[in-house]
Amino acid sequence: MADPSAIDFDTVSKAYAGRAAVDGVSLAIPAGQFVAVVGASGSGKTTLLKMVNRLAEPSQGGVRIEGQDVAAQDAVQLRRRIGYVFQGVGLFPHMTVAENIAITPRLLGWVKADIAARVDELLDLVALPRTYAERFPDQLSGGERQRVGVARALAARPSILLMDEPFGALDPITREALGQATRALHDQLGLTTLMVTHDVQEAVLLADRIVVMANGKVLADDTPRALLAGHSDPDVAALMATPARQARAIAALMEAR
Amino acid sequence: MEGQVAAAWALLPDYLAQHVLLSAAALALGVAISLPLSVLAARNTVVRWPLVTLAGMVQTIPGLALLALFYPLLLALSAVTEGAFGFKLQALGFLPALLALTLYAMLPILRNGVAGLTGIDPAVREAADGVGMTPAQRLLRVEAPLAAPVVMAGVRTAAVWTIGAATLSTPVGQTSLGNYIFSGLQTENWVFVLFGCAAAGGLALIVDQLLGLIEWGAGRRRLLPAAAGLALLGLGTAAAAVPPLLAATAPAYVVGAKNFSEQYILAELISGRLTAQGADVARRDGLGSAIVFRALEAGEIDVYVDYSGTLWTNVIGRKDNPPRAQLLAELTRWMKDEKGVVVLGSLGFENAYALAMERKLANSLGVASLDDLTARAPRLTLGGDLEFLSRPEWAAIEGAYGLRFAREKSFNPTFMYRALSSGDADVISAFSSDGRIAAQDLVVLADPRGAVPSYDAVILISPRRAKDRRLIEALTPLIGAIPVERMREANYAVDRDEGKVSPAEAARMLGVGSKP
Ligand SMILES: Nc1ncnc2c1ncn2[C@@H]1O[C@H](COP(=O)(O)OP(=O)(O)OP(=O)(O)O)[C@@H](O)[C@H]1O
Ligand SMILES: [Mg+2]
Repeated sequence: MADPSAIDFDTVSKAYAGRAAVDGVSLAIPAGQFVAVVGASGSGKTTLLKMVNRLAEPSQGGVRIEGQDVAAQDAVQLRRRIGYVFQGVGLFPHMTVAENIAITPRLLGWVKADIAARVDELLDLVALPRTYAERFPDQLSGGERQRVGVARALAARPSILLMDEPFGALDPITREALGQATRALHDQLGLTTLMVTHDVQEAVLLADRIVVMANGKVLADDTPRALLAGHSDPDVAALMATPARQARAIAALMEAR
Repeated sequence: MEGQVAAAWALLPDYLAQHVLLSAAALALGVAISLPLSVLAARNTVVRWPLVTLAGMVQTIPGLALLALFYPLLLALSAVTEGAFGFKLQALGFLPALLALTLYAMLPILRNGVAGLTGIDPAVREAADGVGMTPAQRLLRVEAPLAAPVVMAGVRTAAVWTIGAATLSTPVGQTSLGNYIFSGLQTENWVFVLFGCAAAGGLALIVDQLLGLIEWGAGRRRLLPAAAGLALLGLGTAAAAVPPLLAATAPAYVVGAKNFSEQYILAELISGRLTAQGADVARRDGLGSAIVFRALEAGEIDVYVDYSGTLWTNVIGRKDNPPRAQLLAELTRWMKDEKGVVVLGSLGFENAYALAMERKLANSLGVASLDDLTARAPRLTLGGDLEFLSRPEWAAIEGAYGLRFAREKSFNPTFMYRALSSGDADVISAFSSDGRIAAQDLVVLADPRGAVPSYDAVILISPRRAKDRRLIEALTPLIGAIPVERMREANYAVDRDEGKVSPAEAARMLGVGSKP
C-alpha cells in the first residue's frame, strides 16, 4: 500500500432527518494538495468539511486522516491540530482579536511569550495592523473579521487547513491578495488545504484540484486545467466556463468603447 | 413622632444586620443551586420545562405562606433527624426563612440562566467546538461569559425580590427589617412601617446598584469597578455578620410574642423583669399564633403569654366549655403531663373573643346579646381578625346561636376596628381587653349560652426551662397582678392615633414595675 493520503473520504454519507446532505463521497487528498470544493448552495460542501474534524459524524462510511480513522480519535485533540475557518466566521464576540487568534495555542498550553509572538506574526500575515489586537470583533469590518478567522485557524500551526468560504466578504483586491497569501503559505508550510468557495475563478487560480459537488455527490473531480478544457456533464461544463465567459464579456465591453 | 423615629433608629443595627445576613445567605444559596440547574436545563430540553415551571409555581405561592409552610415542614423533618441522627433541626427563625427565600431567589436566576445560555449564537458554540474546546472549556470560556449579562440581570432581580421578601420572615421568628413593618402595623405606628419599608427599599436599591457596578465593570473588563462592587458587597455582609455572631455566644432567654399590641406589651414586661435580673434576653416577636405554642414546646422560645381558651380548643382540641377556674386547672395539669409545659398562672385578666358592635347600631337594632343577633345577622356584615373566621371559637358561636351573616370579611385587627366606623363591618370579633372597646364606645354582646370558653392570659414556660428557678422567680410576681382595666389602658396607649406610646412604655404603665 502506498503512503496514506492526508485526508481520505471513504464512501462517506451524512443524512439529516433521512435526507442525504452528503451522499457516498470518496476522495483521496494527498498531503500538500490545495483542493477547492465548489457547488450550488446546499450541495453538501460544509457538511463534507465538518466530517473531517468531527463537527459532523458520518451516517455511513468514514474519514481517515493520515490513515487513521477520525471516529477512533479524541475529537478535541483532533480539532486542535486541524485549522478550520467557519463559513460564518464565528469569532468569539467577548474576546479581543488577539484572544480569538490565540485560543487554540492557549488550549494547547503554549507559553505566553510564544503566543504573543504568534499573534503578531499572524496579524502581519493576514495584513491587519497590530493595533487591531485589542479590538473586539464588533469593532471590525466584515472583511477584517474574515481575516481574523483565517489567522485563528492557522494559529496552532496545523498541517491540515479547512476553509469554508473564507474570503466571501472581502473586496476583490484584498480577496485576491489574501488568496495568494494563503496559497503561498500553503506551499511554504506544506499544508493540505480544503477550501470551499463559490468563486470558480478563485478556485481555478488557487487550487491544484477542483471538486464540483451537487446534491451531496461529487459531480466532477480534476485539475483546473482539465476541467476548463471541458466536461461531459453540461452543468459542470457551464460552471467551469464562467470565468472565460466573463473575461470575454469584459473584453467585448472594452472594445466597444 | 421624634421619639418613634429615635426608637426606630435604635433598632436599625440589629434588624438591618439580620436582614442583610438572611438575604445574602439566601441569594448565595439561590445562585449556587440555580446556576448548575440552568446549565442542565439549557442542555437538556426534557428537564427544562418541568424545572422552570416548578420554579415558577413556587413564585406564585404568597411569600408569607411559603415562609410559614417551612415551619411545620422543618418540624416534621426535625423529628426524623432527631430519631435517626440524634440532632434537631431549627424549625423557627433563620433556617425556615433561609430555605423559603432561597426557593424564591431561584426562579429569576434559573429563567435568565436558561435564556442566557440558549440565546447564544449556535455558530459561536460550534466555533468553540471547532477550535478544540472540551465541553467544560466551552462552558467556562465562551458560554458563561456570553450568558453573563442575562444571568446577572436575573441575579439582580433575585436580590431585590429576596431583600423584599425577607421582611416577611418576622412571623417565623427571624428578625428582619420586617419587624418594623409587622409591629408597626399592629400598633398603628406608621413611622415604624414607613421606616421598615424605606430601609428594605434602600437596601435593595444599594445592592442592586452594586451588582450593576460589578456587571458593568466585568462586561467592560474594568477590574476596578467590578472589584469595588464585589468588595463593598462582601464588606457589607461581613459587617452584618459580626453582631449576630457575637450575640450567638450568650445563651439567652427567648421571649416570644404573637402579633398584636397586647402581646408586644406583655413580652416587654417579661423581658424587662428578666433583664432586671441581669439575664440576657432575646426576642421573637410577631410569631403566628399557630406557630408560637409549638415553638415553646420545641424549646425555640422559653416563655410567652397565651390565653387559656385558645390553648383549650386549639392545642388540647376540647369542644366542651367548663367554668373559668376549672378550665384553668385542667389546662395546667394537661400541659404539665402531656407537654411538660409549665402554666405559671393567670396574669389576672381575660382577653376573650367576643362579638362587638357600635352602640348606636346595637341600640337601633335592639341587640344586646348573641341571642338577639341571630335574627339580625342575615342583613349584617361580620368582620373578623385574620384568624377568627377559621378558629374553633367562631365555629362554636356560629353553631350555638345559628348565626348566618350576609357577608364575612377578614381584617388586620387595626383595620377591623376602623371597619366599624367606615361601615365596612357591622359586627366584629373584638378582644375583651382591647382598649378600643371603651374608646370607640362599643357594645360587647353577651354570651348567654356560654359558647366561648374563658380566656385567662397565662404565662407559659417551655419544658427545658420548667425547672429554671431564676425564670420562675422573676415572673411569679406577675401572676394576678394585672387587672383588665389596666391592660385595656396600656393597649389603648399603644393602639390610639394621638399620643401613642411604645410597647415598652406601655409595659411600664401596667404598674408592676421592672424591679424584681
Ligand atoms: N444541522 C443540520 N440539520 C439538518 N439539516 C442540515 C444541517 N446542516 C446541513 N443540513 C442540510 O444539508 C444540506 C447540505 O448543507 P451544507 O451546509 O453542507 O450545504 P453547503 O453546500 O455548505 O451550502 P452553502 O453553499 O449554502 O453553504 C442542506 O440541504 C442543509 O439544509
Ligand atoms: Mg456551506
